[in-house]
Amino acid sequence: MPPILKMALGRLALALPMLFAVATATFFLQQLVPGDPGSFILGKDATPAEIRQFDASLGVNRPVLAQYFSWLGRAVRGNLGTSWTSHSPVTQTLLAAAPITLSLAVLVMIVIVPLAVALGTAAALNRGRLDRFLQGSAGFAIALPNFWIGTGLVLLLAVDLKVFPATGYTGLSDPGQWLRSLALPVAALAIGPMMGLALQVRGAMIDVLSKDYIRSLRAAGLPPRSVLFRHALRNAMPPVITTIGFQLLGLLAGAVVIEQLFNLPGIGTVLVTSVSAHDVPLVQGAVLLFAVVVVAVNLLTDIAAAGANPRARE
Amino acid sequence: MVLTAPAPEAAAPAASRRLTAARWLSALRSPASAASLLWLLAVVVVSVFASALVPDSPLQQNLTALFQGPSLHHLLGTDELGRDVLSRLMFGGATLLWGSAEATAIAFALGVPAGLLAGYTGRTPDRLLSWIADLSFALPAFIIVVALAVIYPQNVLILMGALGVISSGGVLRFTRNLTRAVRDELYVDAGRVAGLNRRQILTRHILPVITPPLVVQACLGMSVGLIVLASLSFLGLGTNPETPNWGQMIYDASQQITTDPWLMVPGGAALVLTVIALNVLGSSVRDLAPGTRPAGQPRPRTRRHIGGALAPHGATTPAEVAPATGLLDVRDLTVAFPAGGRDRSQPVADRVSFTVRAGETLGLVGESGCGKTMTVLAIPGLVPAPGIVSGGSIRFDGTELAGARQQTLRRVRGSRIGYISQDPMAALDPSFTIGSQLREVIRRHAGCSRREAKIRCVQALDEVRIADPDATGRLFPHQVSGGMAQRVAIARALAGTPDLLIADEPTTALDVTVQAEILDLLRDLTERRNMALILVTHDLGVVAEACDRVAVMYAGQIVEQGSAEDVLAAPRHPYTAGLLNSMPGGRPASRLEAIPGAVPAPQDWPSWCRFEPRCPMAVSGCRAGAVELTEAGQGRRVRCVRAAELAGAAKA
Repeated sequence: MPPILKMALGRLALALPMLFAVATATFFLQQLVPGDPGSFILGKDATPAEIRQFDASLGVNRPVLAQYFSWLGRAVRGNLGTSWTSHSPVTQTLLAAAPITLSLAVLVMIVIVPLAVALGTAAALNRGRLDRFLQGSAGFAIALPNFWIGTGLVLLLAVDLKVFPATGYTGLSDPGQWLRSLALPVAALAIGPMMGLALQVRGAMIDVLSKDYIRSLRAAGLPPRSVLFRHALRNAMPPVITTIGFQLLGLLAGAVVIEQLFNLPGIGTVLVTSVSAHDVPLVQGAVLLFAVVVVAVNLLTDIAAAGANPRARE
Repeated sequence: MVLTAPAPEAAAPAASRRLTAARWLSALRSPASAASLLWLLAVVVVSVFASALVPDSPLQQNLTALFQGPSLHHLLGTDELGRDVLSRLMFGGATLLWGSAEATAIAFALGVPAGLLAGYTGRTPDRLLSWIADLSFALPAFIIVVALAVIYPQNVLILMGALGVISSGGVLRFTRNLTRAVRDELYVDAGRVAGLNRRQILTRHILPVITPPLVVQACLGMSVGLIVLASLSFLGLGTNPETPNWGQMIYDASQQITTDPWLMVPGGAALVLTVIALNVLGSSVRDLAPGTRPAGQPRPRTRRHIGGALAPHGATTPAEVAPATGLLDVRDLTVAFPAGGRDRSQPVADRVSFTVRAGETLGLVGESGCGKTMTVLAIPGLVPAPGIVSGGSIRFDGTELAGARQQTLRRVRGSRIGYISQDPMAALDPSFTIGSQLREVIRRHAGCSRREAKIRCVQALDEVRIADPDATGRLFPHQVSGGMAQRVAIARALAGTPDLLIADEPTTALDVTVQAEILDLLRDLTERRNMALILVTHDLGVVAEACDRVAVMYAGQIVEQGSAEDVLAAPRHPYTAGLLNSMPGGRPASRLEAIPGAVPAPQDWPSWCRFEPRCPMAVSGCRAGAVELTEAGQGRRVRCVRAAELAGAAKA
């Protein structure tokens, strides 16, 4: 078996019990919610009979273990139950919201990876003004909360200059509007991670450029573009890939806040509104979806980092 | 969001990482870290004593004074309900501070002991605890905290506690890796031998060493905690409106952004400054690690003897008399590094002159620290920054290489001058197969097709006597032995059929049996290709075996040169004699027992004879001034005031 496949299977074997644990935990989360769902969702005006009937319709008055196993049995088949508030299937709600969060994450990555690699490499090569600028501004950019940046961007580019819409989302059917509606959220999410990644690239490149093999390749007559882009960048990749993975996970958390701010109906918004509405099945579903994404990102990061490092492939 | 960075830094020798109170204080001496510490202290003090310090109640509304800008009465203005912004700001830090402190404290209280245990004992506890830590990495921490707000709305204690528990996995892994790195170091073994028990070793030896990186992590953890809690508050999940915090202030401000953008500033600035202060403090503690001197602080150095080396050329040097006849003519080459103040530089190779004729092998001999490597790196223009060639000339086959443009140097590298370095394993790019990096260099020089390069690659590996060139080409550098890697490095250096090969200690890193094979290979290749070779070595045995001529370097200068036969038979410089004496029975020895002491660092080079402090034959005249390299007949040159006496002694 190829070593990478073996490693991937090993990680997957570790991840599956974790997903099971998260699923179980999110289910029992529901049991910890104080009060019964009926009285919360129907409000103070509902009669006890109405509340009892509502609870019965949700099945929450059955024994906990019976609920757990039927929930688990359905969850494995992709049925995460029905929302308590909208009464539509949780899976359907999540699938409708997923493309928006995915668009955000993918666009942020498309923006930050090339920029960070270019900026970090330039700073590593030319340890002068650019380097000092990167180090100074990165500390600031990393410390700025994304929701503060987002609000500032709204004020500047949506309210004052009216270049981009302040809030709302346009689907992919109109690509131009889609891009415009995501421009500000993407910028708000990208600035911090971009600078962080640039610092990481800078450090990795400085480290690699001082290596004996870089000098030897130059001495062998290879042109600078090959030494830099083929050899140095390639060897600087493993730590950079790991950082990209970490930042992708950080983006999920960032997206929760930024979707709220820009009124984008993504998974983060589903999570926050369902938390406020005590819609437990929807909260469970969203948490589970996030957990699956985390596991997948970690797995892909490990595989990519191992793929970039021949020594890790054995 | 995870409270820890992915991996600890490479382990430095543990003993030197132990910290005294003075070193802790020195970390706080820079203006940035002092300012950060002051800011954090101010935030803590204001948070603790907010109710006594505030000018106004943070909840006191005044509907007649809405959206007032900063004024004497309201230093930071008022908000949408006429509340005093400064008062709200002063109250707003506490929740965030205690919340993130709680999360960090829980993460470290759980993670550090478990990490110490896992890292120190290894085996089963390690596997079990590392597994738990791995599991925690699959948890989307922020998402879980948000979801928990269903059960515990506005409950900072529980929400941040949960963040701490989830983050403890990262702290565990971080502590474990640090502990493992320290565990096996010598002084811990010494501690074990001295009869300390496990608890004593952990608390006295391991904990002090791993404390600074843990403090760094704690600072970063605090700053992440702040952002998490501020984000929760921004979402309306973190705190209640009765106790406003900075995150919530930013949310309130974002709702009024068109009316009064100023309101975004106080909360945002307070939050950002606190996060920056924590990060700055963390990184200044990180700078305590040895080997990472804070920027702008040069290594302390003595300035005693700096002048001599850069003094203008005085007496006529023999180099100027000798006509340039070789393939390579190096004249008065000086390589220098910036030293201390502006425009000051410290030469590491000082007015070095030698000639290499076509097909000839020159040995460049001396202990490490004599400037041999910098001298030869200057030839193809590869002196590592910030070093520069600060004087002299390097004429190679009619072209001046000293100070030449990169373009000129690039035309020479590989195709006219080849280079192989000391450590063959480090000289090959670890990410590419041997064949792929060899073929790239071949194609660069031959401009041939991929298929042609493949054939030539096999031929090249065959020429350096690699038994199975096809299979070897498919291997990565880490999959071959040092001797094999050096053969590959030689093949790569020869791919452009250079006229001159520079080999910097090509056998030093290899086993004794392999050393002879590589040396034999080099000798054979120079003969067959009629290629000149500069062989850098500290081993006169190698010179005797392989070199036509030899130049002996000491402390940046050539002290003796001539034909290898003559110099080895009758050394005229006491340093050369010392090197010879240190080869008992003609067998090369790595330690120079015959010469006491070591080569001084460049800044400590005397302004008189640089070898005088270690010289067994030193007389008072040796300290009179700098000694010049003088002609001694038959191409011999010696830099010693007693050279004539020594020559006489050798004849007698």
